[in-house]
Amino acid sequence: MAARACLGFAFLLAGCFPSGAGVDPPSDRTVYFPVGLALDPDARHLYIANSDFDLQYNAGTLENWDLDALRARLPVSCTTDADCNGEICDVASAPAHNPVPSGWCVANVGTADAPQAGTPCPYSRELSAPERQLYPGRCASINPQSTSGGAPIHLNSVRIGAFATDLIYRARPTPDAAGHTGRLFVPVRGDATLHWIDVTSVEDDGSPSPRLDCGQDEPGTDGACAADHRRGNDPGAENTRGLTMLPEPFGIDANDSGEWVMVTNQASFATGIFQNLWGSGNGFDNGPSYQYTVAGLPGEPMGVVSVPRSRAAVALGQPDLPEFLVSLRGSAELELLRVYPDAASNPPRPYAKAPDSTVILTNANGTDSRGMALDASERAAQESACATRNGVSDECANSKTNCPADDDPAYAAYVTCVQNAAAAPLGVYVTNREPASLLVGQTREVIADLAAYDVPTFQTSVPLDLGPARVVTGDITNTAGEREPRAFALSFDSRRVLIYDIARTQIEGEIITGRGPQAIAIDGAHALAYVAHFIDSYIGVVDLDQRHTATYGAMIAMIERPAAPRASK
Amino acid sequence: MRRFVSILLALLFVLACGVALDGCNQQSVTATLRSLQSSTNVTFVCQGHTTTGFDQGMELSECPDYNTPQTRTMLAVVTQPSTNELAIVDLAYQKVVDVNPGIPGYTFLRLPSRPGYITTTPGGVASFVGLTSPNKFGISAIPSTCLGVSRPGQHERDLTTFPACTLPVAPGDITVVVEPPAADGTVAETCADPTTPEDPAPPAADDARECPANLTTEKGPPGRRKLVVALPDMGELAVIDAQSLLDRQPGSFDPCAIEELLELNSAPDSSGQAQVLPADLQSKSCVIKRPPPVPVPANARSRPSRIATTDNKLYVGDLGVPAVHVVDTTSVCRMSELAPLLPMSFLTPTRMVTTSRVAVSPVTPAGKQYVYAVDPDDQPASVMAFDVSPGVTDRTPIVREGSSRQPDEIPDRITFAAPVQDIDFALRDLPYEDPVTGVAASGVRCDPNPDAPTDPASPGVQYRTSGDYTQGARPALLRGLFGLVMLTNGQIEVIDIDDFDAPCRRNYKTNPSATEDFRGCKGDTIPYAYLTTSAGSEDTQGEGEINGDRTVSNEVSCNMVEPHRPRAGAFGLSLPALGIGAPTLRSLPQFTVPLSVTNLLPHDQPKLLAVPFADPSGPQPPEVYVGTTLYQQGNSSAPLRVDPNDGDDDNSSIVLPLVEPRSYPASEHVDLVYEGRVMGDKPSGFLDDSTGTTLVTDQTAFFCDNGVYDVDAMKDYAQTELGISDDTAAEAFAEAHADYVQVTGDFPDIIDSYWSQNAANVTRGYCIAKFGEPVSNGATDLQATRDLSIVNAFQDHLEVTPRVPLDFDPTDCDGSKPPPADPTMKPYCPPTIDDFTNCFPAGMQYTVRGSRQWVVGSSNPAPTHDIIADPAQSYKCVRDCDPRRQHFRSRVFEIGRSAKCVGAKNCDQIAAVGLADTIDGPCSYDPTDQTGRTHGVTLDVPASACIFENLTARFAVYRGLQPSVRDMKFTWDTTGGFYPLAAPLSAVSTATLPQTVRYISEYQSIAVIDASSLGVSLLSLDTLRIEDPWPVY
Repeated sequence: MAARACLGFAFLLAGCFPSGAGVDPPSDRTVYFPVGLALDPDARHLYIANSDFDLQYNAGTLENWDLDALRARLPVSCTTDADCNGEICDVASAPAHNPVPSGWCVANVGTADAPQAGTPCPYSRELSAPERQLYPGRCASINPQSTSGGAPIHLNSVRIGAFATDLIYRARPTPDAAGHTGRLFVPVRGDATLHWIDVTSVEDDGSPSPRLDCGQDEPGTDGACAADHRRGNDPGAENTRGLTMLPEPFGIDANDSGEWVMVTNQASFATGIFQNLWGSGNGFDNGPSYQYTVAGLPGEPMGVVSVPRSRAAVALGQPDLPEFLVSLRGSAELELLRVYPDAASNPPRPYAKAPDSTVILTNANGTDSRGMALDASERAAQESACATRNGVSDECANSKTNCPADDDPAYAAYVTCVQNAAAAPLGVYVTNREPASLLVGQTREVIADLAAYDVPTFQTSVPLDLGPARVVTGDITNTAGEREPRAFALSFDSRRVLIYDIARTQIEGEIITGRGPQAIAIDGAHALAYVAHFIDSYIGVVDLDQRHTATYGAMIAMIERPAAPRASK
Repeated sequence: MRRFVSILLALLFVLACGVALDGCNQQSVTATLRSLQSSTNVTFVCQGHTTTGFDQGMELSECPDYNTPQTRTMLAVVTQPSTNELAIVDLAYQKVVDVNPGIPGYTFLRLPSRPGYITTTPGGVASFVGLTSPNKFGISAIPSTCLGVSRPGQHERDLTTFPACTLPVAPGDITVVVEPPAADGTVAETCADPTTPEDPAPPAADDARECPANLTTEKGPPGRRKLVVALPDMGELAVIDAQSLLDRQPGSFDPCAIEELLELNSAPDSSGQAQVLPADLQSKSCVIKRPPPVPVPANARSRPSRIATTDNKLYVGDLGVPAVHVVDTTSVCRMSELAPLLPMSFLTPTRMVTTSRVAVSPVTPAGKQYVYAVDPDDQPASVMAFDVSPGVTDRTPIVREGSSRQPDEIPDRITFAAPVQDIDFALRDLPYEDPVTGVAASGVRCDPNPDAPTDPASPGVQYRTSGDYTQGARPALLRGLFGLVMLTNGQIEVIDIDDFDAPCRRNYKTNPSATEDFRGCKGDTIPYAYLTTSAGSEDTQGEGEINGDRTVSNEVSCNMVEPHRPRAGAFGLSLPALGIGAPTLRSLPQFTVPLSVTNLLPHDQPKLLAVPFADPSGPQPPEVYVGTTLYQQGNSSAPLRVDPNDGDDDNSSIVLPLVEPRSYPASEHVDLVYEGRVMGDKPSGFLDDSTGTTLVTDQTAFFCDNGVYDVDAMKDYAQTELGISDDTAAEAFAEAHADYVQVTGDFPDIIDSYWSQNAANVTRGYCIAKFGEPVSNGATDLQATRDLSIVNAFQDHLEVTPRVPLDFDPTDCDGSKPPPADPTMKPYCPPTIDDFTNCFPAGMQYTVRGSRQWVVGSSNPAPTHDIIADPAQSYKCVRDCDPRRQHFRSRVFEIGRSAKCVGAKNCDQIAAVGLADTIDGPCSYDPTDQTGRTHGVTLDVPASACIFENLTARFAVYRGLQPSVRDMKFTWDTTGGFYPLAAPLSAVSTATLPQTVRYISEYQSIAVIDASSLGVSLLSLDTLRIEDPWPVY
């Protein structure tokens, strides 16, 4: 970790990243110092932000993987041959299992009369014991560009600036004329911009793969995102205040609709607000534009998370003032930032303020907070049930348009129901470095008739391994096949991901990862987690299905060839 | 020999390398190596030599071993969840035990999966630990004979050393309960067959085993040892025979044999029990409308959390339903559930309260017993206390008396600054021998009665606080029953439950009345003071000096020790020898004026002065500690000014209420400001007059929570607190004193496009002329034109109108009168609402101020006002009739001089108090008596209603001969406020994540298990500090 920091600092002193000149990103590998992962809503694609951290190449990249193709290469857990669709279940009771049974379906390499279990690693080889110390899991890496076993996992990529720091995805309210269904946002430290990349997640034009679109095909871009897709650097066009995004952007999140994007600037004690318009084509009526800087925070902002708007607030017609919680590195508190669209002013001049904060008293020393995540699953489930029970459409629930009359009995019942649901607290999870811990809290109860009050308080502090970084929430699948929420806290230095059971308020276990777990994406629908390994530049796949007794919480695949940093080779 | 040579060579090599490297280094680095990591749960085992062999488990009471050489030692067996191990710490030698010294680093006992909770049998023969990794749920049995290094001939400790069994779901807490012998003395082996006696030589007792364990012969209560295991995911308690588990083959991991299952009751309690409120919380003036408790959801299922054990009962916390289950374990084989304790919330009865941790106290000598339970969903987590003493039928959390004097206290909760991680109890006595009987009885209470014989002194007399305060009853002496609450931030706070020395911790003056005096004393059984020299009569020499030997600590309050409240960390005294422990002023209050006020002479100034205390025996003269000096009225060396007309004295003064020391934060800074801010600047108010009523809306302001008084609230105050019975007079008072909005922000920037685009064509220059510059642009004060009177206040908006002087005549501004010839006589005309909306077009910065009154502001974040939002009136701001807020005050009304003085023909010449106004209500008094001498306000006149008293100050503000001006300010600081007795682990390291606290009576120490840097630590109950060589990590 220290080496990584020194390396980065050295590059910063040397004048940041090269522009254009130099060696192009390699065509034979798709992961290089990954820093961010994002899934589309139906988990068909995994997007990877590569940071080009050692500046070996002239750009970072944004990669697009086909998860259907990836999942087709994952091992299938089994208990008997009946689970294996003609293959052999490689368990100890099988007649001809591997020396160390994998618990997976494997090919029969013998005969029908004398079955013989094939290798559990059909797309690579088995790792040796020493290798498994470095790269947990049974099998060596799968090449995402290989067609062995089906369509390639890797679909396409675009070049982005160096030193990307994170990645988020937001679905478009409705696809545009070009078929774009979502948008990726990438803060890039190298040129202090916010890259935005439109994506299509369906093959709608017969092209071989879904598109990533950030103007990379325009003349002179050389496959990199065009200038129009790098925002935060054009004060005259983007806002009326003459503001540009401050240096060193780090964390990012957007509200549910994707209209408001907040980026933390760790070196400036500030955060920046972008307003994202779901337009089309080039120009500032499409994409994010930088609007406001919230300066003077009491510490270096690190993590940021959007606080979802309750449906009670929508139903009651409360003003939509998007809220974000920001964790700080140098101060033992969390800041609540609220965006004021200020649409009534002339001209509209959005701004944000920090109306409240919460002091972290949970630890003796609450400073150095890093990642942050919210769990709104309980409230969302209750709100969804309210809508279903009373026949309220998503459109009405989300934006109060095309709703029944207020005195409609069913709608009135819906409003009462979501008001009650709004009292369900949101779980808040913060990784704290000193001591290494996961802070577990809840937002305060909502005063539903007037306004939400979302500053959290913390109930407990859960021990973590050395070097906690990000934390995310997502679902695992329990032994009954049902989804259950968990928080996943990454410890970069100690190669662990702690699984915290939200409902039972206890640690469930730890995932042993490779070196430098930097980002994680949870695919609850398929009970999988994708872990970006920063140091060795590959993606690990973790089984999150408790029915798989042998592999729950373990690495089951490694995608992309691991490559240690040059300095350590 | 070869090995020795090898080691020697290796050491030389290391030394050579070290010397070589040292030549390169300028600075040596000391690296601290740790063996424990993520330590979580603990059990204690006394282990030693017995006739049956080495390393035998024993009862805890057999440790520590004071013999030489020692043959017994206390072990802490600590779970290591991150490595699936059990670590062993030797408490006698303060070291971590390496169970395999042949392997580099420390080796611990391996477990099949992640360890959860752990427990030990009463005789110490074996421990049992829950296994919680997904798909590897179960229990491991750990014989005490293998808690340590392998003996010669044994194989290394590994997964095959201990038997284990699997469970279908993750085990929660585990405890050992003894199934007693049958009436004929038979100890049955199984629950299913009570007639078959147990085998006295079970398989696990076989000496051929490496880790023999025979529970049938262990000490402790007779009977069969059973494990009671909580199964949270099933909502059940399982009973497993402990010996049978030990008898299994070491290394086995087959399904557990569950003898009994008790499904915990998830049904809502139907008894209808409600909390019993003390007298001071039963409202006399109104009915407090609290929402009825929300019914327990139909699908709520029990989810047992922690278990607390007594001889014949289990108390089981529950995270799924609002109940602390009470399980009768008179026979664990036939255990049954009794009526549960009922966690509930006085403050938010609509919340379903669950419990994460429970602890049950030992029985006090008086026969009392309590259960403490942690409410994990409180914010932050709090502790409830239940009285489970014999004969007590109330199953709800105890609601304490006196909460109204503690702004941070919730009546039925013990709250802390940080979340609660764990709780335990400490019952300790240090018995003195009775000189008559020769018996050293436990539980003897300190005896303050001056008539008690002192030669020889009974034990109760010996417990009295010594003259120099170093011995006897004192804050740091824990003699009695105390709660130990460990917080996640590394603090262990001590809770008073039954302090045997409490009778001697009080003021020496007595009050036989049932009404408490100004020191909180009441109901004393002796009518004279606690002084021995003149027993039967109070004997003082004046000026607070006691003449005689006090038999009590003579602290300023009689409420120094209160059950189920945090214990005070200091004597309630401010003495040079002890330091400051009583509520104390750092210095007398200071008066400052805004920059705009110059040359204000003392008699022209407002005066802040102390007033007498109200007391059942009549007004008591004011006194207050300033530092360690007691200031009193008439004291020549430390005088306390009380007469505002004393022209030779320009000191200010106040007194500090003494009823409840916990009213005071450890330190507090107070500003008393004329027309001061009720709330800080808000950035985002929006003016809206689209409905015909001018509104200031701000969804984030929470006006009521900030204590904004509108006209109705002020009128209510005038009627109920000041006694203005006439409705018109009350209305006039309210209109004059209701709060107002002050716009503090700037206009849009001069380059802002707004100035060229706004529809009204207003210019920035017009706005500056109308409203003046903001303070941020250099203005020393804001113009009155920026003020908007609040007519009605709601939680999220205010109804306002431009603020005008009391003598404002609208016709002066509507053009119906010709302008005055003299331009300097031009009447004040407020801006129009359009002016406001045009000049502050976006979210405006503003604040709210009190009108024609003084506003108390404190550094203490706890609210001190009595305003709430009333849901029944669209969240309008109203005065709260909740008795918990009866002492919450923040507004001070000046007391003026009446027009006539009975004792002087011309008051102007003798009084330095300004004349009262018609809108002052009762706040005027005659500053002279019949003899013409001046004085401050007394308690027997109507103006006494205008004496201010809240929880931490009592005084009156007298009007000066010049009118008070906005932002005039009195300031003072108090210190010596309440701080709890606590053991701070953070004094050793801030990298602490404490997990478990246990009181070890055998060591009279508190054991703390820390998951971060501290590992295992022992703190003496006498010092509450981690002392060398602890911690061990």
